[in-house]
Amino acid sequence: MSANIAAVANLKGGVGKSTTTVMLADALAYFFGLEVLVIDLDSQANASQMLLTERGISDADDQGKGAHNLLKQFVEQKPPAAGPFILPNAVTLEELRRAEDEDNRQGWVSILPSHPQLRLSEMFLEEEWYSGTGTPSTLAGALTQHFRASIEPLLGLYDVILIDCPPHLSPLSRAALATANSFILPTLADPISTWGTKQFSDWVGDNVTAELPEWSFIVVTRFRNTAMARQIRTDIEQVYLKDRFFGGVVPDSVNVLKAMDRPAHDSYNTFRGKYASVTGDVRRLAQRYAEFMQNRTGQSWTMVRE
Amino acid sequence: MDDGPRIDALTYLDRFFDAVREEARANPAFSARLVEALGGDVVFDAEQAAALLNPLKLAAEGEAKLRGAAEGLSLKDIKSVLRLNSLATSVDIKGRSLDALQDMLVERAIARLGERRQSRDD
Repeated sequence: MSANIAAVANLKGGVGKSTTTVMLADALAYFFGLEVLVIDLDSQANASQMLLTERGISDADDQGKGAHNLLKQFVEQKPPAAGPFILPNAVTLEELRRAEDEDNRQGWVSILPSHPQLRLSEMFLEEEWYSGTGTPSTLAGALTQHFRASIEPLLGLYDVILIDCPPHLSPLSRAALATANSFILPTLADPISTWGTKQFSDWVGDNVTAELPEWSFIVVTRFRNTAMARQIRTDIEQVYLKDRFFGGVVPDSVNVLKAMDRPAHDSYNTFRGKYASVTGDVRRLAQRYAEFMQNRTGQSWTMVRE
Repeated sequence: MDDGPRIDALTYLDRFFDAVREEARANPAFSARLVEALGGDVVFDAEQAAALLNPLKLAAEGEAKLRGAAEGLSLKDIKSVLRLNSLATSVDIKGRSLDALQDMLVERAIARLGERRQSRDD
């Protein structure tokens, strides 16, 4: 096992990055039995909230877990190690929990959670770094080295690492993008989001990797089946981002919102109970991602549940 | 100014309050909002409770009030309240007694209220 690291990213906010991260984490663990690690680097902590609840984020912080501690480790120039800050259980699905109880684990979700403190830690770090000769680019470079080194020992433990990136290009975001070896770009089927996705995609292509087209998995989220949305979806797929792997569409649905609201930190649901009418869409998202990975790396994943 | 039929003020008010009264009778949610707007305590019929009870609002008003409302609910209704308010999934509810579900409703509503308050304080 050597984890593929995917940055779930877009410069524009509100395009469904955290929702896509959680859906993919759940679906890859559930349908393919994969070991998934979610790294939440967005200080809004939405993916962490969806998986752990707000109380869970707070409890994780009390236990010394969280991405802000990784940043603190960097600031204090300690040896890079992400392991101590990971919460090994972020499972919300009853089937996965039950299989674990029966000592028959097939698929699991762990998380390096975020916390609102992350943004403050980042601001403090930036002020310190820029007070000398440091620049945003040198900080991004140093953070990238720290992240890569801290994740390196974990690569054998996970099949997929999904990094939920913040919606801007701070040094932290740039380090996350540079650490990844594929990009999941959620976007909305509207003109503003399409433009933003194209700009972001071009920037990453120019500044992070020239291999961006082969590394990109595009997902249209919150899709409303209108004539305009269908037209824009076609434009994204066939014109603006035609050389990327198109991961499909997740519909706009109240069931998506409900699926993302975990009732309590000790609450579980079945996959179908959680995703209800979008179950098929989430399964297709994971299947398309598996196809993408097979194209990209030759890795082949087998479905363990239907 | 409109040249329509002239109606005196009291007739207008009678028609207006008749319409409000009819809507309040037919629409319990509207009725509850109306009583709340006037500063009163909403009393729920057992049949309406599941659809109208807001556990977070009751939790904000005090645990005793929330527990009192929870204890007035049937097994079917308390399951409905838990699910409608995203306080439990069908897996969480399955096989639990009425007492256990009442405790779950109270504990989870208070916990969620605490989370949201904590977030605002951060």
